[in-house]
This record gives sequence, C-alpha cells and structure tokens, in this order.
Amino acid sequence: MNRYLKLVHMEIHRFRYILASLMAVTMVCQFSSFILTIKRAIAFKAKNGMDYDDIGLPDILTFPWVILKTKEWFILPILLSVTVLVLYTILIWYRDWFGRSTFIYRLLMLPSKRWMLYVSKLTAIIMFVFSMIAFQLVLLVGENMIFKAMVPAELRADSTFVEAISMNDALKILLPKQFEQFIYYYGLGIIAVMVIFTAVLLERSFRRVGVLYAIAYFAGCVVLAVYPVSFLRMDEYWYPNEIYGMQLGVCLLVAVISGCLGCWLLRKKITV
Amino acid sequence: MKRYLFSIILGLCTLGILCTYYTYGASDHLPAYKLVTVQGDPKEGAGIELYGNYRGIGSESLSVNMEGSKYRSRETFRDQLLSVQSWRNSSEGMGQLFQDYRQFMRSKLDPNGFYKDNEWLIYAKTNIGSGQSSKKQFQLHIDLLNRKTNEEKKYVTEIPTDSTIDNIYVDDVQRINDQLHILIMQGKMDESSLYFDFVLDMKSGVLIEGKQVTHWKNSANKDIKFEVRSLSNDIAPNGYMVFLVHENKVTSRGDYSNFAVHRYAYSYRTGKLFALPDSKPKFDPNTPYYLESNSLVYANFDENAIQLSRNNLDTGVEERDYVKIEASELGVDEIQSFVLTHNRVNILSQKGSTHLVVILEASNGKTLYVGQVAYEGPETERDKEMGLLRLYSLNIRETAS
Repeated sequence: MNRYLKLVHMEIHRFRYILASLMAVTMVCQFSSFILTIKRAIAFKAKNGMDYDDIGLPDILTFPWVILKTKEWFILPILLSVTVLVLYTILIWYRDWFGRSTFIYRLLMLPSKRWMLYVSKLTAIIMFVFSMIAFQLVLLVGENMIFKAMVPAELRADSTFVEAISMNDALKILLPKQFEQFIYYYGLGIIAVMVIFTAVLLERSFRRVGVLYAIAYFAGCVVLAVYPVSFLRMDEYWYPNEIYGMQLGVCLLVAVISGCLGCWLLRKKITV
Repeated sequence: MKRYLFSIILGLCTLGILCTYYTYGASDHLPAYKLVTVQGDPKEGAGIELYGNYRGIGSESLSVNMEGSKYRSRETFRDQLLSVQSWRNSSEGMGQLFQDYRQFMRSKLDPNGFYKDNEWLIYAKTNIGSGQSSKKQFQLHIDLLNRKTNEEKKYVTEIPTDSTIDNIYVDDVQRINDQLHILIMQGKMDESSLYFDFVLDMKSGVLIEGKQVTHWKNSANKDIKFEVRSLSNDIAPNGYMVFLVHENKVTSRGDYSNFAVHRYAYSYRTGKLFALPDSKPKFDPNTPYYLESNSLVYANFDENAIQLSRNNLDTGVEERDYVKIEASELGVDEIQSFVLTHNRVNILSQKGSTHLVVILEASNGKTLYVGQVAYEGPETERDKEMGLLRLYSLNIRETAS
C-alpha cells in the first residue's frame, strides 16, 4: 500500500506544474470575463438609470445571468483542460519510455508488483480530473462572492448554485445535479482511461504490430460499450430495464478486461 | 510524510469539496407540487399526469401527478433509458399487457397491431417476404396467445397486395367469432392511403378474403388532397372502425388548408362502409374523438365550454351536444386542455393561479373527481411558487392495478 501511495505521489508530483498552469489559466479566464461583464452591466445601469431596459440586460442582476453572459470564457479553459488531460493519459506512459534516462526501466525494476504501476497512474489521472472539478467549484464560490461584493444589494437577486451551473452546458456536464449521473459520467471516463492505458501497453508490448492491436482493441471496446444503448435499443426485443442492466454489465466487463489485460501485459509482455 | 504533503492536501481537498457539493450544494431547491383530491374518488385521478413549466430563473419542464412532481432536469441516464417504457405504455391497456405477458410482448410495439378480449391476446404485423420472385410479397405475421390456457400460436399468411406500394401497416385487429379481421393501411408516395380488410380463419391462419374498404385516392387534380385518419378503440374489441376523411385545398401559397372533414364507419360484421351525418357547423379538423363500442364521441370546445356529441354506429343516430360542460359551472376561469378516454372527460383548468383537474362521466357529464395542484412547502411561499407554475396539458398514464 505504501509503495502504491508513493507511486501515486510521484505521478502527481511530475504533473504539478501542468496542473497548476491549467488551474491558473482557468482562473484568469473566468475571473477576468466575470468581473468585466459585471463592470459593464453596472456601468450601463449607472449611465442609463437603474430602470433602463435593454435587451439582454435584466432589471435585477443574478449570478446565473453573469455565468450565462460569460459562458464562452468558461467553456474555453474547460476544453483546454480536458484536451491536456486526455493527451496526458497517453503521455503518462510514453514519458517514462522516451523521457530522460528511460525512467520505465527503473519503474519496472522496482521490487513491487507491476500492476501497482498501472493502478497508480490510473489513480493519478482520476486525481487530476477530480481536482480540476473541485477547483472549478471553488472558483464558482469565489465568483459568487465577487458578484455579491461588486453588485449593490438593490440591483441583485439571490440564486442557487445549481441555477448558475445550469446556465452553462459545459458546467452542467462537469457537475451534474444528480450524484447518480456523476457516477455514470466519471465511471465511463475512468473506463475510457483504462482502455487507453491498455491500448498504449499493447503498442509498447508488440511495437509496430501493437499499433494495430491497440487501434483494434480501442475500437472493439467502444463498439462493445455502446452496443446495448445504440443497437439493442433499436432491436425492440429487449425491455429498457434489461438494456440498462446489460449496459452496466458491458461497461464493467470492458473495465475488468482492460485492467486484467493491462496488468498482464505489464507483467508478462513488457521486458527490460 | 512532509514530502507527500502536496498530494495529501490535493486529495483531501478534492474529496472534501466534491462531498460537500453533493451533500449540500447540488440541491436545486426547485419547488415540489402535487395533485391533491378535493372531491370524489382519488382512484379516478390516479392516472392523471399534468405537463408544464416552472418559470424561475430559467424554465424547467416538469410533470405533476398524485405522487408529486418530476423535473426533466433531474433525469439521469437511467431515467432516460427507462422512459422508453412509458412510451410503450402510451396506448390504453398496453402497460398492463407488458406486465402480465412479458415474454409474449417482446418485440411487439405497435399498439395498432394488438387485440385483446377475455380469451385471446393477438398481435399482427406486416412483413416483406423473401420469395424468389423480384416482386415484393407481403406477409402477415400473427401471434396468438390464449389467455386462459397460456397456449401460444403463430402463423404467417401471404396477402395479395399491389407490389408497387411504398408502405404497409396493420391499423387494427379484431376478432369476429372465429375470424380475424386485419385492417391494413397501404400507400404510395404522394397518394392517400388505402385500407383493406383481410379476413383470416383464426384456427388455421388461412386467408378467407381480402377486400378494399376505402376508396379515396388523390387524383391528378392536385387542387384537392385527401387525408384519411382512422380511429380505433386501441386494443379492446370493437365491431367498427371510423375513418376521418380530410379534404384539403391547395392555397395560393402552395400549402394545404383543410376545408371539409367527412366521417365514415366500417362495420367488420357486415363489411360495409357507411357515411356518418355531416354536422353543421363545419367540423374543426382538430376535433378530439373517442370510439367506444358502438358509440363515437366527439367534442367541440373552446376555453369556456366543451360540448360532447355522439353517433350511435348501430342506428346511425346522432345526438348533438348531449353534454355541455361550461367553465363557469366548474367554477374555473378557463379550460386549458382535456382528454377523452374510456367514458371519461379529463379536464385541466385554471382558476387564478390554481390549476384544477376535473373528471366527468362522458355519458352524462356527472362530476366524478376534482383535484387541485398544490404547492408542497411553506405557506408563505405558496402564492409566489404557484404563480411561477404553468401547466398546459394533461395525459392519462396507466397505473398498476
């Protein structure tokens, strides 16, 4: 357990600057657009009188309205973070092979089980994703405080946190209202990371032919994972609750196969 | 330990923030509503489902019934997947069939293809056969379940049809003694559909006869276009099928405007199609109808009143406005929407900001149930939250019996 935690820490440590940069970019984009939008709205109200009606500018300002007006500046850093994290899902393995002094040799020679490498890298990716989500929540709290500090009480109305999130499609996906939906989204994300990990290990194990194996494995997993909801549903033979059960089963199967195959490749096929 | 401080803090903070959000922050604080019984038997209102919006900061779609309110934005992947089930249950009696005959009902989705009486549950569908000839061959696939013995039977019967048709559907299934009547709708692009009654021997599945029921065809004269709609009694036994023939005229802008609706009834027993009296004033093409046994009930309506009329299909006698339901009599400001179902008129109405549901007996207009949409929360917020609720329509869903 101790070794596993050390490996996780090592992965987090290696990504710390990129993670901090992503957080900084997100904060700068969101805060600056947020503050500018509020300033512009207040200045407009001050110039034209509090009761002046303008298209798109309500009488009373709300936190969700500002989120709606700044949605592009919220979505862009989120997309950037998603792209970087998806790319790092692949790079987290390749940097060990192609980085300085082929670090993978040292990792594979460690006196611990090799599956710990797989699990620690997976844990690290999950940590990065969830820490970015948590950071977004902290930013929203901060933005709400800024809103309350900048807008006079007579010009603003209270609203809930969820109302603000529902104004932005990207935030709605990142932070679904229902915890059950959160499990579906991020569960599927974790399975996708496992499939990518296994595809990378297939390539590392079999090199040129491995590229084909990796592509075929990835495509096979995608088809298998979407089969119940996409194809069985059209078949009309199965009842919806049966399709739901099959969908959960298939996702679990893909996760188990990916995990087992990945660990087996690390143990048996990758040699130093 | 100090070495790992960054990872420990990152992990703990992330976990703490996400747990706090899903424990306290993720609640949307949307108000809860419920349909409560004011008068009558609550069982009458058990199947009522009201649809509309809650207009807070944004607009939230919701449905309200006796169990409470459901917001669309709260639906998960599981809810969306299972909501297909409610689509299957949309036709009266279908939900119970899916519960009682789960295995037999597999792959059987078209409500028009079903027939159910005390003894038999029958399903018919059309299929294009795979004969050696290049011409299309159409087949009827019939599945029968004896509800008393649970014995299942299947047969496939080829039906003689024009091989150039573009679409073919089963529109109604009826059993008259030992014969099955399968009403088929078939059509070509740009032509109105034609209806055929194929009579099969129930024991063997042998085709006894097939006859054309309707004859309205869109001619070369493109000024007038026929549109034929059929009205069946869902899955219940019925000796009649009613056709609504809409005559549409081409306007100067090139689209169609409805200028007449004629009604015809077809008797499965006699094999005759006969016209029902054309009522005056002119029929509204959106008139709701309900066919029950030998009676065709229809309604003329506006926001102040609903007038029910009916045709006796055995005698051809029409009773116009035999029941008149006025908003003032119900004690409401306006009638918003209504649905005709099994001898019931289900009305959604509004009085001030309060939405009321009234269920009346269709045969005599007697009030059976009055329900009111109530806000479930502090009394001080009631007026505000009721004012933000807009309900537009109602539907009847099947309840477990």
